[in-house]
Amino acid sequence: MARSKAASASPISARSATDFAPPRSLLWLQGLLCGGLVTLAMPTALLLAVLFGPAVVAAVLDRQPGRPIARCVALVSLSAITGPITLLWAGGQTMAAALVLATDPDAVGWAWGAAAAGWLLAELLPVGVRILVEVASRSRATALAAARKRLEVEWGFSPAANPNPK
Amino acid sequence: METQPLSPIAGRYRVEAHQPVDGAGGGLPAFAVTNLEHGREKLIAIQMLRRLPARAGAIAALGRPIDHLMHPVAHGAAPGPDGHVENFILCPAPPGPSLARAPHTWSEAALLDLLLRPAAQVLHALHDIGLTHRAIRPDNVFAAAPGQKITLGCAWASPPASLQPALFEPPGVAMCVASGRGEGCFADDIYALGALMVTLAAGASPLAGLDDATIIRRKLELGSYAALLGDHRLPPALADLARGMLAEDPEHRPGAALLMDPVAARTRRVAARPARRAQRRFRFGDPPPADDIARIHDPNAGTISDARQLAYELATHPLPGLAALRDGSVGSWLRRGLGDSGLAARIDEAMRPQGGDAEDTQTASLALLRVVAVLDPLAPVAWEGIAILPDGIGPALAAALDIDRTTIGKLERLIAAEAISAWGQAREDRCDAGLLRIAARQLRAVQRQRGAGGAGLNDDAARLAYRLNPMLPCASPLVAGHLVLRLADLLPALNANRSGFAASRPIDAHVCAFVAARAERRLDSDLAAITATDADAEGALAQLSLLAHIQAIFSPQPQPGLALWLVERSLALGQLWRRRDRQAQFAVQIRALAEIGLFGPMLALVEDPTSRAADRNEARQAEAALRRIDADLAQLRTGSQERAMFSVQLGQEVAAGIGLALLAAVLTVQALS
Repeated sequence: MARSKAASASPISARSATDFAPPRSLLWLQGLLCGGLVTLAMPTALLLAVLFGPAVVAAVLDRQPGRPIARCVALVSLSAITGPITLLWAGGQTMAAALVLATDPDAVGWAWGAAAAGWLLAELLPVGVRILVEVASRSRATALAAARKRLEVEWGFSPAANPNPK
Repeated sequence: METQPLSPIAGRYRVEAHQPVDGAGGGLPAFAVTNLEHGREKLIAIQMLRRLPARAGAIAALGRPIDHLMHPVAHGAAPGPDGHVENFILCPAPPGPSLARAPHTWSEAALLDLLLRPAAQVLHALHDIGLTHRAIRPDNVFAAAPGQKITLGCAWASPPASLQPALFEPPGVAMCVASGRGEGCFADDIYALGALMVTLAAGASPLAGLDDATIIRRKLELGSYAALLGDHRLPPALADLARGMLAEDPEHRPGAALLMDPVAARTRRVAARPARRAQRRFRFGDPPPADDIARIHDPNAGTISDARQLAYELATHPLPGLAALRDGSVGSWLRRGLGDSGLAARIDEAMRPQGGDAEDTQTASLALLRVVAVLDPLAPVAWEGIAILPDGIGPALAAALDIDRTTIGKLERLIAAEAISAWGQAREDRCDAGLLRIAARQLRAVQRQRGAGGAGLNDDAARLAYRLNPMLPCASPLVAGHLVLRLADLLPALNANRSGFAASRPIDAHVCAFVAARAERRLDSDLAAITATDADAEGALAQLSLLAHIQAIFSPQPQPGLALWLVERSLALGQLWRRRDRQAQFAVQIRALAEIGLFGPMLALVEDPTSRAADRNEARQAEAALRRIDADLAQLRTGSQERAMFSVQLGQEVAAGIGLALLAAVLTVQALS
């Protein structure tokens, strides 16, 4: 009962993070895919484990519904590891090549830097958008107050009780 | 208060208010008159008292002079002795002092030749045109000197018989309230003349100096002739004449034409059947204390020996009278004491409630009225302790207006109960009951006319008083000092008094009642819109509308002072417009119109339907816009949390979008390379 009340009061915030966890069958499917990848493409799996590690960490740490930060980190990281993966596949997908790439500071730096950039992007953009929205609200409130004042002057309406919107 | 210059009365008579003529007005103030056209006729001006309206019908009917009568020559407004405008009636100056000022005992020959014949001639002339005099008394009968014929004084400046002492009126008339005696009948003049003749013959009446109630009781007990004469004896011829003139029944009194020949009048003897008297006197209610003034004068005061006395006591003491009627003591006395079982049966019949609850006050009053009328068909309408004649209701209302709420209340209830109709039905052989029924319904219709004054300014009594008294001036304090007899006089008086108005409106209950009475329903719609307060715009508009219509119909002169006062003080008019700039524009325009002094254009400006409809529509739209703005502002004030959540969601979606776009770009580049 309490849960349903809380859910009706604030439907997004009240839902627990576990509600957004993938279904158990999907988890099995992911495990199967990962297992298949490790079995069939070990070098690729190794390289992904190193370069895509921050995105996986973000996915584990991000408890927000829909994991928006992990999603952003993953997308940016994917764009950064596309080059090393392509190189690995072009070189025959050997363990040696995978180890070289996985230990290459440039490749790892780009991949992790991209993950950091994705994280920053996911953290800073909401703040920026909120600033923009608040500025727009203030501007609209000022315009509305001015319109009200004009009506008060023209028609003799009583002034607003609280003319300054927060 | 501004004073307005008054033109001379009838264009040539100026009232000299600083030159009073003592004793010439028969009880009313009289002043010298200057004829500006140097006529030889010497006139006096008799001031009409504001609460005693003059006899408009008599003044209108008396178109030609009558010898030995102070007939009305002209009437009109002039400044009175206190500077206020008053109404005066101009009459020929009396030939000498009144008989009250030159008392002496008159001989039989002098009474017949100098008093009776000229007075009978005057009364005959008056009665010929349907008028009564009703003011024959020593202080209103004048003679140049002993041995000269008398002149009857002015009887037109106040309600009929309103200044008559009870001594000179039949008991059935004397018991009425002074202003409610009505026009009366010709025989009432004969009675007054007979009483005057007896008084002059005796030198003084034994009733002189007694209070009215004692005089009436004495007349009822002894008969008027015996009561007036006392122990004095008159010469036989004079006694026969006086006995006839003072007959209790008006139908037994000789006419004025007959009195012009006293010898013939003496031979006309109508033998009236003596009233049945009881051996055992009757009294109801508590006996008066031993030191009661009436009992000192008359040991039998308050005791009853015949039906007329019983009627009088019941009329003047309604509550104990009703109790005595209900407990059967009256009926018992009528049967056993007076021996008149038929009368007792008629009293029982009159006491039965006719279409009402027996305990209801109105039903009880009507029952008592019927009982009095049955007991004494000569008695007036007896209602809640007052007595009045039907055509005296108007003057009685006027006399009591604003100063005697008790009498006003009784008269209002009398009209509401249509008591004069019941009175006529109870004495059908003495009057035209059908006419009285119509009159009663007309009075009640006027009383129930609710058009005037809306909710707060309705005054039925005032409206009735003005309707029934065409010469009653408006008694509103707003026109104090001015004489407002017609609607044409109203606006100039308001204009002159405007600086003294305490309220911010030029209309009060008296003005409403006056307009309702004088306008004959032409302004009812305006009056109905008048409200008790002047705060609302529609009330102010109703005032302006009323003034405009009065000006258009009755008084076309411009009144810029009043119009400007109204514009400046009646701020509510501006509220008819909602938009502020229109209000300012309206203020400028209406002020310009007010300076012209015509209310009609002002009303047209205020009532402009197109502009007011547009203003109302725009006001509605502005109110809707204001509501929307307030709702949006409230939403902005309370929506901070939602905006924050929205911002986070949007920011995260944008970040994801940027990541997706970057990935797509990289893949595209790699695919192309």
